[in-house]
Amino acid sequence: MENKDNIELFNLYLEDRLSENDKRAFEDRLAADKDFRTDFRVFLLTVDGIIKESRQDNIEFGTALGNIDESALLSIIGKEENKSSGKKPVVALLYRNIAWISSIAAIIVIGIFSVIGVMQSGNDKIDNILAYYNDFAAVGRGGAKSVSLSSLSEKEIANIIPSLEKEYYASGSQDEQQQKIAGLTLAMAYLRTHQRAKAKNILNELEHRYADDEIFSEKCREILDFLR
Amino acid sequence: MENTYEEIVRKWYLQLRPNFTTLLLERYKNSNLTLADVENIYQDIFIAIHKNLKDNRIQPDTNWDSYILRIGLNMASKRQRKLGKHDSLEKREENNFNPDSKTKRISDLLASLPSDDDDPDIHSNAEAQALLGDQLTHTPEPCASIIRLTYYGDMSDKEIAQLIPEYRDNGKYASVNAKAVRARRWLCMRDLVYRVKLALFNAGIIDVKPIKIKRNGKQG
Repeated sequence: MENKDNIELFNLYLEDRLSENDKRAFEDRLAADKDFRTDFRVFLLTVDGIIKESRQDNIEFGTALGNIDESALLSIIGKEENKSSGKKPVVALLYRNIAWISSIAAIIVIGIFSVIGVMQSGNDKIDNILAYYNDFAAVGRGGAKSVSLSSLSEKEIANIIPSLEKEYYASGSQDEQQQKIAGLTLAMAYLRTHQRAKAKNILNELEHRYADDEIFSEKCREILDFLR
Repeated sequence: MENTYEEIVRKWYLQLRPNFTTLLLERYKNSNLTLADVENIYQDIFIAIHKNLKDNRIQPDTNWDSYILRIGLNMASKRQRKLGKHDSLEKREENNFNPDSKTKRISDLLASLPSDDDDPDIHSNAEAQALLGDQLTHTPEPCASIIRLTYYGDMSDKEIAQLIPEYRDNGKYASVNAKAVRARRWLCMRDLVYRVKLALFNAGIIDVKPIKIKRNGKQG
């Protein structure tokens, strides 16, 4: 029987922070209660797993970062591209993400159709895939909340659409970058909630409004092409 | 292998970025720190870490997410105090945490546990390890960060609270302080241990089906 306090108790015992009396009582219970013992084993397994997996992930990243050369790193973080194109780092990274993610999205979309061969729900799946892979944290200034759509359910996204709409339509007072981010986030939110027509409208607006920015408007066109 | 290294670095770069930018902009929302500033700080940190790794001044098994967040907060703070740009990482406090000591403690406890013949030896069971790994992968934020910073980072609740941005809790954004971290950690661990136990039970590795405990402490 799982007691709601067991996890904290297990942790106190693991860290040797129980009083002598409590420690004796804990060990007596371990000896007498098989289910309690099993629960404790699972707890230890879990904590051990957390530590080992974290260490493995960190070593993997540290080794990888230490083994790539500087030009590769600058390419990954978008620093090198910014110098050649004159764009701000955040803008180049946004475009890099969209270019890379759109290519992956195209491959995955093709793969899904060829393997599953389902057209009926295909539209919904494209929307979710595009939205997931075009997701990025839209970060506002002045205390606005950050939004990462892929961590939210469809219902949660539907609930925040009014605030995203407000942010987009009120973003005229913000700089151009913020307007683009707000617009793309709203379009992706519409896609996640399968409001394709609204998503297309926003993307069309963005494409025409920022026609001078060829890279950005081209990316909007690419997403629109997927939706067609 | 070159491509794999780049993929790993890119994955981490993109994965840590949302938390990093959110945290810094939250902390300095009443200042003139812009998104572009935060992005520049983030990029500078990666460049500096890369250099330090090449020079063997930092170990590959560093707790990277908390390290990067701490450096970022520090650099943003200095930028706000107009102490100038930094080309190199400030020497952070030494990480004295040795994960080996905790895993040794766990091994010692397991070895000392009283057992009957029918007690499951889940620790050396490869399938159990795989099921655990799967459940860890599917642990959502902020639980994944809180749990990792607690057990691998060996950080206090107050330290963890400084590195976790606001998160949604029951539909609302919850402020993050030490008390909230502590409460959240036990919910996260309870949920994770329940999922692990359920996976082990479904695989036939243990014979006790776990009971789901709701947030209010009642059985589900």
